[in-house]
Amino acid sequence: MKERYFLFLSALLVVVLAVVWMIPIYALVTTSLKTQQEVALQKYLVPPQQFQFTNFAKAFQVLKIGCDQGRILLMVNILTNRFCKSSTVLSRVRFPASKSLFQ
Amino acid sequence: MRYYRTQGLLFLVPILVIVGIFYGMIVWDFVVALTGWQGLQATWKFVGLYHFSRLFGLQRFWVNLGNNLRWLLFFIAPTVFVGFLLAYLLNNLGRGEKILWQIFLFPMSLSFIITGVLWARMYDPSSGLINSLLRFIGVNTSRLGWIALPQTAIYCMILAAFWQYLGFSLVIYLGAIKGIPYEMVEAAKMDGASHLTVAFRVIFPNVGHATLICTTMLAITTVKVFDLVWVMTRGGPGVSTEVLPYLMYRLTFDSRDIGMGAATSIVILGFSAVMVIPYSLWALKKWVRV
Repeated sequence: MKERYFLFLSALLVVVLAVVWMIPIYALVTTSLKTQQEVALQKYLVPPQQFQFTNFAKAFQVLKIGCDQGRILLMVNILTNRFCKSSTVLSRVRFPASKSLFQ
Repeated sequence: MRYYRTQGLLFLVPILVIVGIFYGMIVWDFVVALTGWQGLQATWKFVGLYHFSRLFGLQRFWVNLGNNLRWLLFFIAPTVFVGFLLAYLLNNLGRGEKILWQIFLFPMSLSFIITGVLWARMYDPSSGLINSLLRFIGVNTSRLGWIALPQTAIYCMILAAFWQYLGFSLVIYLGAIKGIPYEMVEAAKMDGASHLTVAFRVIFPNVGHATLICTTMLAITTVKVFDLVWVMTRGGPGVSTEVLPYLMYRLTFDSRDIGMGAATSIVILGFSAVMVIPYSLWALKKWVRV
């Protein structure tokens, strides 16, 4: 009986905490779907009256340059990462300081 | 086919170059801190510890160091403690666990920039989410300034980081708890141990390796926290939320005082080394039996 009471209480606690943890994310997503007039009302927890994606369209227009640059960065990153995979060899070769460096 | 030592070293050249650049940068940092280098000018005047003495004379520096210590104290301990408790509770729950830990882990996928913008909006005294919620309940919010007040600003910022990093410690502890033999917990329960005793006397000593990983990773995050401060308050009301990396940025790129910036970065390096290395050695000896 006591065990079930504990389980119920802990489940309640964790679920309440999870809901609190999701509030910022919820506010973020719903605010992105609202119109400017709705946002100005400052009722963050009220869901948007009508889903509209014009905010996203505007954001992607602004972010276009950033997306291109991100793609270039990603490509360079992957290439250099492949290149750096030779570091695995470094941990296999025995040299005077290898023990203190890798073990 | 046989391999020779020279061939092996030849294959290592790319990574050796990269490692050389990494350590060369640290050496370069020391060189800049000890000379009167002015950026693009070639003036190599050795000034010794002049930059350091000027840095230690700044009131701002000590405030920032105190703030870094505050981050270490008030960020790591609650994150590790609450993460452990949550992991213990979730481990008992069984079925719902799989969805719930993902909810806590989700903020980890956001970058500090997004967290900063989000929480700065939420803390806004007049139109933020927290104050509007409190007003909805009927609390007088005229005195609750959150990040607008110098006394509470840094703790509000720490709370935002706590929100983001709780999932990290939770997941590490959850994995560690799953790894220890269940018979031990069973035996303790058979002997009539309460949940508190099981959590702190049986499980906690056996997940020392998770504690070590958690605290060390969070300490590294804490020492280099910059983006959250930059996005949320830009150093806060006055200098009340500035941390050392922020000071380094301001000195180097705003004041163009490159020597001072390099000196600050060396202080950060020393600070983190002094904090992390003795602690990890101690924790390795205490908790992880090699």
